[in-house]
Amino acid sequence: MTAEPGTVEPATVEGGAVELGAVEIADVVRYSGASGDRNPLHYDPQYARAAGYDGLFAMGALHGGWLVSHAVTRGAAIPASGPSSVRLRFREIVPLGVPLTAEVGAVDGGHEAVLRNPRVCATARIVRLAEPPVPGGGRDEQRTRFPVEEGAARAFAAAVRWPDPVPAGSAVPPTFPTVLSFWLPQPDPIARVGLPPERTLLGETAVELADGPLRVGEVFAVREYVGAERARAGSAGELRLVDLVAELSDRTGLRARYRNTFVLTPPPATAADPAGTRLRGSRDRRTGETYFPRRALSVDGTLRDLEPVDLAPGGVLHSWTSFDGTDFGQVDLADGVRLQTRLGPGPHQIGTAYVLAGDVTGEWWFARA
Amino acid sequence: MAPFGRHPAGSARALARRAGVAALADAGVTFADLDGFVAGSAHPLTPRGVYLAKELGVTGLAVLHAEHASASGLAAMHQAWALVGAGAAEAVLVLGVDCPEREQSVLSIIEGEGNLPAPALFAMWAARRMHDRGTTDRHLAAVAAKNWNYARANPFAARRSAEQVTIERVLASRMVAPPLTSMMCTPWGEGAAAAVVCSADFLARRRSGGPPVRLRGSHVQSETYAPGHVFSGAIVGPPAMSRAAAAAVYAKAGVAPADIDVVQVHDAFAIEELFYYELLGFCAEGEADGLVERGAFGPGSRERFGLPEFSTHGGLLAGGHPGGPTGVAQVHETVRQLRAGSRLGLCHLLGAGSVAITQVYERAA
Repeated sequence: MTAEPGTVEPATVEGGAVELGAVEIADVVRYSGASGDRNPLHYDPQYARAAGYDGLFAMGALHGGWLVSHAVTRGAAIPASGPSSVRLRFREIVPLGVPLTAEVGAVDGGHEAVLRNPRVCATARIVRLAEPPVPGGGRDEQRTRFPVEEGAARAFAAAVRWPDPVPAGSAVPPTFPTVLSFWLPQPDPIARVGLPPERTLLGETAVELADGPLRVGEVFAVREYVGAERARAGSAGELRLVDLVAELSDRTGLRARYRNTFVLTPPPATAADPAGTRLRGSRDRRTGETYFPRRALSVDGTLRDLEPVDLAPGGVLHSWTSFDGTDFGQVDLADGVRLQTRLGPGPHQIGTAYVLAGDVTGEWWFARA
Repeated sequence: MAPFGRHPAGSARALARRAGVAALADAGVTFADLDGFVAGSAHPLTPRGVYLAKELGVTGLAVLHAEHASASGLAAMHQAWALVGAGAAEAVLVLGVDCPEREQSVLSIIEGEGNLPAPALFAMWAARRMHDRGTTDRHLAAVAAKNWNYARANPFAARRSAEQVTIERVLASRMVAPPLTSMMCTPWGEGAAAAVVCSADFLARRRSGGPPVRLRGSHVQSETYAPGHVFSGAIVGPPAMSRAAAAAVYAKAGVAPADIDVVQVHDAFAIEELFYYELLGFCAEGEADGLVERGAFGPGSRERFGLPEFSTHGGLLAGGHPGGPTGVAQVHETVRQLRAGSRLGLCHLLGAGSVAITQVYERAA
């Protein structure tokens, strides 16, 4: 059960950390509806597994929103006037169902909050700025008008557990500009930055406010653009970073600069996968062909040794049927293997994508991707 | 022949005697005249050939056993042909038989070998062909109905319908694995069939018996790798295996599809026969559906289309399919057709694991 904002007294744990509870699928649904974030990584278990994750995890803006709201309840208010910024850094994905704690401390110019599960998943820094934000530049601009609507604000506030009601004229939560997705011609941020969705995560969100928070009833002109791409070394390989920036202006000038930095994670390991999540086959070094199941010798009868190899995790359905209550199919994997397998629940259609499911050491099958 | 159908467990010896005695009578010889015996059976609980040979006589002749799942009967014929051709034997009784000593389901044996249930594989052949070529379940039902109706005149067939079988009745039968309904799938069962394979010299020396038929050629083809080969779980290899088996036996026998008057195939599932019209060289790829719509490969096919009749004894679909006897029953039917005026017959079967066996028979003078 999730609580409405302002109705829960969070339990206080030693050291100043407060239990926020776990993100559950209902929270994901509520946030998805309020923000327009429809990424199936967060609600479709098969899609998430096919992308290499163990299960569902929350969108960064959701638990980031909870963290900012919590910081505000602990005194880290957004200044009513003057330049300020809210910066969320996402360190680890937050799996659903894992309890979260938040701790708020003072820093130079403001406050910082840390979210743990118990690993540090995210930090939120709310500080005054010396100077207001200035306009920037990039490629692939799109523009829209953006009214800060009371209904949208109410739904968003509930989803991020904002502690205050949001009637006309009141401040909206600082990450509210995410609902630009309801207004922009091309709303999908990952499509905008041009990265593959199954390997892209949100790295950072920053809101720079020129003069206090955005308020219900205001109307802005928005210019959104894609910033330059850059690379950074990560623990699992090279990371590619791309910014998506929305600048909200009114007759006073630039009022807010809303930046999301997306991170392209390295591709999952292909050979000798230590997690054992791939089927094992054999490859012929001379012909490049792959066979399943594993075999010792080449198929051409010349008695050459083959080498073990991990199979591609998915492919296309070649044919299917059902017999005695079980669905069966033949799947063509990306590496040229055709295998016959039990299928997960339908409906099934020849030519659609399927991925390995289950446990390769025990019962496995293929499921619709 | 002994009729195909459900026989009680433990009936193998009686079935073997019945089929063996009948074959020897047709050949005009007795068991003591033979120097070879090859049994073909598929079920692991069917008594092996050594035990069944002794039912007919304890004469010391050479006894061999062929096992090739559904193709065991033609595998036994192949062995006898090779023996006689090599001069290692003069007169061989081939006995196809299957009846386990105690109950054990064939489906469990197939799955025990690591294969997905046979209907599932062939249903997927059908689903893919429907996707690629627009074949419909009516085409499958037409093939099944043809074979059911042929079986009505076959006293040894497992499924003999009292009245004419229609496409609608086939479509209305219980769905087994979409798109295959139960009347499009062969029934398992028990039975026996026997034939005498001998040399020309032996033939010349015998004093009575029915008109002989020549085994012009026999070919055993196992799977050949091509990209997309399913190695595990598929009871039989890719359709191309049958194409290769047919081409090879035509070459060995020096004949072409246009010369063949009658064909018996591995129609365990109606979709197979549809493919075999094309794979065995009787029409081009994709043409089978249209030909079936117009009634080709059934009664009168030779006169109307210049194409042979297929599965004239009811095939596996309606004739029934005990593994061992099926191939020899195909030979029995082929001999019957050739003695009635046809010149060349083709037999074709698949064996799980898998192989395709093809044989060409010719009326001898």
